[in-house]
Amino acid sequence: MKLTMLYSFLKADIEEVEKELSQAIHSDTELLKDASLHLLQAGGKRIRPVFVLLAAKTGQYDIHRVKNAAVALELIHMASLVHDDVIDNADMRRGRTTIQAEWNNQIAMYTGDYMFARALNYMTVIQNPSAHKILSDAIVELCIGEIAQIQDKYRFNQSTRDYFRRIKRKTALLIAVSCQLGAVAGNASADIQRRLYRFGYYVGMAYQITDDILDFTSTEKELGKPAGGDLLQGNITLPVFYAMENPEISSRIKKVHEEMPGEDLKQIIDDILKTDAIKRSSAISQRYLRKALDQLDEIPQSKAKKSLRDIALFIGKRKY
Amino acid sequence: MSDKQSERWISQTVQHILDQIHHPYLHASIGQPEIDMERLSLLLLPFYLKNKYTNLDQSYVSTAILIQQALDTHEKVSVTGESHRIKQLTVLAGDYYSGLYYKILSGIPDIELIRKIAFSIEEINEHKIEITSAHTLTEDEFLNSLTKIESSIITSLFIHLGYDEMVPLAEKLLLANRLKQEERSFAQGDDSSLFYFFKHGKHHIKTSDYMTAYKRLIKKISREIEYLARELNLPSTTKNLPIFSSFYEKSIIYAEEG
Repeated sequence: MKLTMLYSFLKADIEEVEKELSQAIHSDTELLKDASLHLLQAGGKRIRPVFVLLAAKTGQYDIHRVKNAAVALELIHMASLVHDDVIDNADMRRGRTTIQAEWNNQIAMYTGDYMFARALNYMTVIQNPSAHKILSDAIVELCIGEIAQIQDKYRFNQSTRDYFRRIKRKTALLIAVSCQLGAVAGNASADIQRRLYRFGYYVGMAYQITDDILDFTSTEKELGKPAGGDLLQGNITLPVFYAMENPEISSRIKKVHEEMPGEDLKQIIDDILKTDAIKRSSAISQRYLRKALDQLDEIPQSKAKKSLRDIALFIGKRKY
Repeated sequence: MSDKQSERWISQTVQHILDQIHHPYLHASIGQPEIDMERLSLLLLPFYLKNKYTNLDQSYVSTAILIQQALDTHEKVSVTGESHRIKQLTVLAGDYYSGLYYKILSGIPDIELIRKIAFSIEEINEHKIEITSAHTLTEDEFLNSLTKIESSIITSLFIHLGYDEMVPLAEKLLLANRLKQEERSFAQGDDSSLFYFFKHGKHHIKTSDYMTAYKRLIKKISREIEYLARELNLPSTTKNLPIFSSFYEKSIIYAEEG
């Protein structure tokens, strides 16, 4: 089943968001418009807007108001992707050349900054100060998380607490805030806003852990990059922590460096796969998903609630 | 306004900004950002004239400096020769400062200013891209782009706070500063948008005429600054502010205090 099938009743509203996204990146400066369109047309799951809309359905839903938060969240995500591609020196994203590869770093930086500003412009339609407090706190935390990821590279003596804090900032927060802002924009009760924040947070944690597992269990074709790429770049993820409980594997993992030959890395990946690291990481991901589903218990039955539940389950089962 | 008071407001604001952006790892790796004192003193000018500077005013001024810091930090990303890690952290530092400015304005809260500043950032990035295609621009268009790039944030803030009369002077001062910076870059053999424009602009000029063209522009803008400063009746004490340091020697006429 496709992810989009899980919220098919939102089709018209998702199209409205998509239309608004195209308008959002319109600029009289041709090059800027081309660069922004280049990324927009590459598509994407638009999972953050979907969470915003579904969460807003728990309150007084008005697409003309809520879509502003949905567009803002997606633009912030897109801006971070453009800058991430500069950070990673990436040539391809979603099967297309990146902005920095198609043009250059400078254009990519300007485009990212422009998209971020457009996002804030859309957000200001939401006049509720707490919505801005929530989003701005999350953006700062997101940056701190990305900086921490660089700081923690190849730091093999870090703790799982460092890992969980890092993935919270890097991934879970923006999903949590998407759900919370949807609820705020829909004027849902404070209790529902809190529950949806926690739902998004747990789903985000499960999503990132699954991503980190797939980095070892998927093929290069499925991932669009070589397996074990995260480890090669020095990112210590949950399966690596568990595998390092074995002293022999631990000493081999500690030798990983950026220039490590593919054969040596493959040997280490095989070693990790022979342990129970994947199984245990999967169990943690499932535990987060259960917690996410628990948050939905007190929310009244609706199509939106069913979709939120189905998306969480979908994320838990995804293979790539 | 006394010199002591202006120094106190400047140092308090600098400390406030440094407290906001404090990040030990980031700054150990890429260095502590340098606060642009000329820009800061320009931002403080209306408060000097009013002789009042509240904590809220300080938040506004800090915000404008943070945004500029964010944009300037991202300008360094295209500079070649940096290590990959430094490049990564430079991108993130700019994003971090951007987030902080949004956080400060959300905390006030001033949603209207968030909107105006966001519009300025859009405008600045559009003009930054415009000047990369110098061959399509006339001198006026090029200078207009440079003016917007340098002053859009400050002028948005001045207008928001009701200091509209300061806008023309701020625009000219920041444009002149930018041109001087361009000349320094050119002299050091670094990239310069201005000299690139001289070479590739719609009405490109010979290399031997570059300095004449540069001096003509500086002279014209300095004259405009002199006029605007006189119109605003600035007290003579403002001549000690960093933003005026290079123009004071060029005999800007200030009104006598009192």
